[in-house]
Amino acid sequence: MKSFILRALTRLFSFCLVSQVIAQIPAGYKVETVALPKGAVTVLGLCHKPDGTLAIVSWEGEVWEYQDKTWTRFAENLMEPNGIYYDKKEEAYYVAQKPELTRLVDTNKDGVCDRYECVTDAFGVSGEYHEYHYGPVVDSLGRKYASLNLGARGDFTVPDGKPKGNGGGNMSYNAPWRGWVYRSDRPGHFQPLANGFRSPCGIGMSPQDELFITDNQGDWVADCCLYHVREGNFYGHPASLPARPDFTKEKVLSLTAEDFDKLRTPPAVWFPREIIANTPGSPVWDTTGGKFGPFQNQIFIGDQRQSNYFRCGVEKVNGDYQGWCVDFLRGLESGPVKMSFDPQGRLWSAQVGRGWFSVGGKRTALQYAEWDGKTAPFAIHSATLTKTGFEVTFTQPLGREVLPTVKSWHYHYYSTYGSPPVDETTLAVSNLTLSKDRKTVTFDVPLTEGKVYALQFPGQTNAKADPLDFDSIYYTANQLRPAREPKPGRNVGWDITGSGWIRNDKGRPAPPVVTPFPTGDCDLPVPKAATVLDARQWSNSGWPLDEEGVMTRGKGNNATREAYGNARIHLEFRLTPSDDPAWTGQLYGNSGVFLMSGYELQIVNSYENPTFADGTCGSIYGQHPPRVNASRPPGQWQSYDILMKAPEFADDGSVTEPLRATIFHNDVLIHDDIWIYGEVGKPYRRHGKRPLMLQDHKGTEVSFRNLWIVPDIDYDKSLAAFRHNFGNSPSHFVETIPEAPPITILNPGMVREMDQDANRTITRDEFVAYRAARFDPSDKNENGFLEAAEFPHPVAFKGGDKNHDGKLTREEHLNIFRGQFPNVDVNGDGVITAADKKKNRKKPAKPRPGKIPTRE
Amino acid sequence: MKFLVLLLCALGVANVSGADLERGKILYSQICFNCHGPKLEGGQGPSLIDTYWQHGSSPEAILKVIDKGVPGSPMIAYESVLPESDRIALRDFILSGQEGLRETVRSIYPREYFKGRQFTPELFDSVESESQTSLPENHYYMERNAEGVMRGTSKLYLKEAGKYRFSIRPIGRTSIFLDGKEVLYSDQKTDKKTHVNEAFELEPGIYGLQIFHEEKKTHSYRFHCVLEKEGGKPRFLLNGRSLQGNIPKIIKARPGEALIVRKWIQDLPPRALLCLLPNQVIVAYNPGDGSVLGAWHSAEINQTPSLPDRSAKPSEIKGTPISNTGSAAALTGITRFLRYQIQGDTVHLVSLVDGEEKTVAISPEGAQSFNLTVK
Repeated sequence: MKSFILRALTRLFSFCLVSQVIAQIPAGYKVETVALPKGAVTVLGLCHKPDGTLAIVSWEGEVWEYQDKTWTRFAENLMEPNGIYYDKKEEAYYVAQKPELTRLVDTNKDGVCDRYECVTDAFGVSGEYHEYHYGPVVDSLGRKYASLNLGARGDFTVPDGKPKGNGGGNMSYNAPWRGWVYRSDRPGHFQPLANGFRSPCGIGMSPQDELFITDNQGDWVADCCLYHVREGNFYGHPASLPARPDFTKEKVLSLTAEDFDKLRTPPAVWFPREIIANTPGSPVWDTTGGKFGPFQNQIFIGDQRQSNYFRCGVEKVNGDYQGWCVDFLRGLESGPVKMSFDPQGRLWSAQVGRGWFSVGGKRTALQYAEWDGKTAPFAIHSATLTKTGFEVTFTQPLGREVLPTVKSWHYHYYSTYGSPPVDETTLAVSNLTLSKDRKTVTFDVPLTEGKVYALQFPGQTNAKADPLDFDSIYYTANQLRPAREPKPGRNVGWDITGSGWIRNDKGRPAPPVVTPFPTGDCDLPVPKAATVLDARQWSNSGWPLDEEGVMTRGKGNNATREAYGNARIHLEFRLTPSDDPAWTGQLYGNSGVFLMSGYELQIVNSYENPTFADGTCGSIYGQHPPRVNASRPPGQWQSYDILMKAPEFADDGSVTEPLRATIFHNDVLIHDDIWIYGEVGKPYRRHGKRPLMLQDHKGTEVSFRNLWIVPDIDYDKSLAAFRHNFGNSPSHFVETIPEAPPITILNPGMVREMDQDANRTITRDEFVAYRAARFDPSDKNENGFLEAAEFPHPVAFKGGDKNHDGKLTREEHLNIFRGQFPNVDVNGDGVITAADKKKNRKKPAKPRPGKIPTRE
Repeated sequence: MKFLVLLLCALGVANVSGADLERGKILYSQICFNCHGPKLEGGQGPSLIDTYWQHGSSPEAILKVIDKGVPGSPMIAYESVLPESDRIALRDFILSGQEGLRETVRSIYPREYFKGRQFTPELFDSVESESQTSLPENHYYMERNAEGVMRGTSKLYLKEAGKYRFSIRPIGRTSIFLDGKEVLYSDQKTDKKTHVNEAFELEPGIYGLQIFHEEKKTHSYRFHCVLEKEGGKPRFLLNGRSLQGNIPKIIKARPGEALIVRKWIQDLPPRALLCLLPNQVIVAYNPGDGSVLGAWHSAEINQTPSLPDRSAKPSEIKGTPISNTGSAAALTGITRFLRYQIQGDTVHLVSLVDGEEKTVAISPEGAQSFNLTVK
């Protein structure tokens, strides 16, 4: 480890020296600096308006606009805004400030913000310094995405057996949803998407509505990297797991790196540290149509430490993204964290050298890179994985081709800060071929999945004998090309916007299983305004109704005679038990509630009957799995409580407001103000009120009872109260950090070690266990006893050595500390808490025998 | 008092008499204490006894600020208010309160010239410096990756007689001269690694301090030096970090216009909205339930003085707490904060309570209070 640090430092150091001598700017590009407005302005984010106006946000809490070479202040006194987006439809800015996602509106159009709107503040903030909030970026539906940094110095870290804080687990879960990425599609809406992030400083949305995050190396994050974010996935840092409904802090602490490794999704691209990045910022896509040179559709990222821009590309192998990174431009003034292409195709960056050292050296800078429109730089353009090796493309025809050097390595996944490259191996290269246009080389190397490949072309030149700008490209091969590419399934092309999944995706994680609330709770009085959906209300007589009002699924769908729009709906259903192995998966009790005859809330048995995630009971079929699986076993009655808002359409038939719904399954909140993408298997098309419909589907028997509907309810006004129905809240399953004040009677390091479950209460067992663990390290001669020399406190040693044999057994050792417990449990309540305070120890000094105190 | 008179005379400031100092003290306690505190410790205005002197700490610089004021701040030009003798008396009174380094200047010299030569003020005087910078922080620091030899000159104000000693981190080569006499020398390369010097007696007074130091070029400068009296007090740290561009930022409402600020304040939740009213009352509002977390009159927000620490360290509210503000939640029910807007001297904080919009309006009342209404 030491040698690695040394090597990393030497690398960094030698690099510092080099970078100060030469800025490496590709041919045809230039970098310009824009003077910042006067005063303390540390730029953290920027964006462009369609008219070319640039807006920046500063660490000090200000928003400035830059137009015609003049700065004007738009807003001030925000708290560390870390990213900005301009919504041209709403003519408003969105900024991610530390405590809130905020919409800034200039209602009177005088060029200064006069209305500060809270979009969401549903995530926790403990006030800890590292709890950054980055974003937002936006998908094609206009929905905002932002990321939440973990905290540090908190009680809850995941050290995985290593000394807490020191080598194992630095970053902590100080408040709900830290280490997560979320989506907010309108004020008040907060939808956590994916977790396992450490310091997700970079966030970007691809032109295809795919969300990407860059993270910083540290505990549990081996190196800086780029993740493709898919809803519901876990990306590796376990301190964020307590917010998941299927985890508690205790459960997280009971798991090991091996367990988390099975759960996690690896990065699409690793960025080798000190070479490409140390603190990567936000990715942006070159959609300038060639205005920024020959790298169209590639991903550009800046790095705060390295003060560079580098390029990335990803490709799908076996359905998952992986890809490459290559350095592009060096010598910026400070460290780029956020970037934006302006309408002229210039790449701007907000740069900061604060918090972490930046090679560029300046505290902050605003710069842009511009291409001259004609000069082609000589660079590695991209790389792709073949079945037997790699294909690497250059921007210009090559001169004499050079045999590349290929190295591979992988990383540790553990709680220690960062990982060195492991098993670094140089590989034999064979079958080098050059394409006819002399721009593409292919070659074979031995391939192993899960490795990073450095493909290096030292000395490679073009026809004019110019050297490459940067001669190495790094490919992350999580997976290898399959021998035969699978046929595209029928759901290919049915991408679910911003979620990273396609419809009925088998790879999508199943919703976490929770215990539903007891059946008794679902007896709801029928509201006065409700229409009870009895036999007269249903149109299909093929659905038999018994004397107790129980209706069984029959042939053909069954719609109400009346049509409905906005509504509050209650219904109960029961799936008849079956042990026939032919009737499992989607065939075990399948039906569905078709809201407005077209939007399906799935009914199927999901109690110990696995199926694809967006076909689970309670899913909006093919779109949203439920937040949790709260299914009861077949044979028991289950309930749905639905509040829904009808979609709204423009005159031309396009949808202006989606159908929204908030749904409880067995009294558990499973959808919180969800955005529904369209009818089942069909996009939106204009309609008015339509009947509520129950689906006929092949499968075992399904029965219904107690159906009622309150028509024409005001969804938005009812939402807040409805959300908190049945004693629920959207954070019902989320672990919070106890409000209890911290323990002060022991030093903080001991508290961290002892309070393993981080509940700010140390039990007698925790106290003694901490000491027990010290026995073996102290037993230097490994004889199973502690001699006087091996125990630092002679008085305690004497007292603890009950049989006076000059050594402590394990039991004697523990008894010492059992005896000490009452000293720290001052109030004698059996546990150490903040209430235990040190006693005032001021005692009158006793004169020691033989020494008479004298006045000097 | 007598020694101060001698001290100021020694400085060549003027013919200072005890009566003049007494006059300065009286004037200070009539005018200046309002902003700068009764003991010069600072209040709404900057402290006049700490080491940071934004506009310079020389007698001339201090007099200039008194004479001309500081545009854009409440510090007015006293030229037209007080006769010159009074302004000088005030300046001298302020100078009499100083302790530690003042009038600090850092010069940088090319390294080659000093190779193998002993550091002396004369040697430095014989060569041109590359740069000369006044350091208003009155402690020494160097830029990242700094090259060259540092020469620091300061005035050292001492108020207490006693045995003093310098101690330094033994890095590179250092010489310290006090009134032209070398008091400490240390060279990492030779055997002479004296990083603590002998204690020597010093009388109260003003001394000319010169520090010469060179070390290997690194990303962060490692020079560290302390001067302390036997027993540990007083103790002066001679190095620190740059506060360049980090003039303490005070935030308060402009006349007639309220202001809402989000800053991290110790002991307030990070979501607290700080409502700054034009009558200098600050109300910390909890948008979660509409409760008032605290209120202060004659108040302002002091953002932490050093930019590198800004937000890493909390800002503070300076003012007098208003008791009985009533901490009860103004809003009951399921509450979601919607937005805030300023209308003249009033802040409007809007929340959705059980589906209905409720506006909490906070406006100034009298000189030291505020009014909170819910609509």
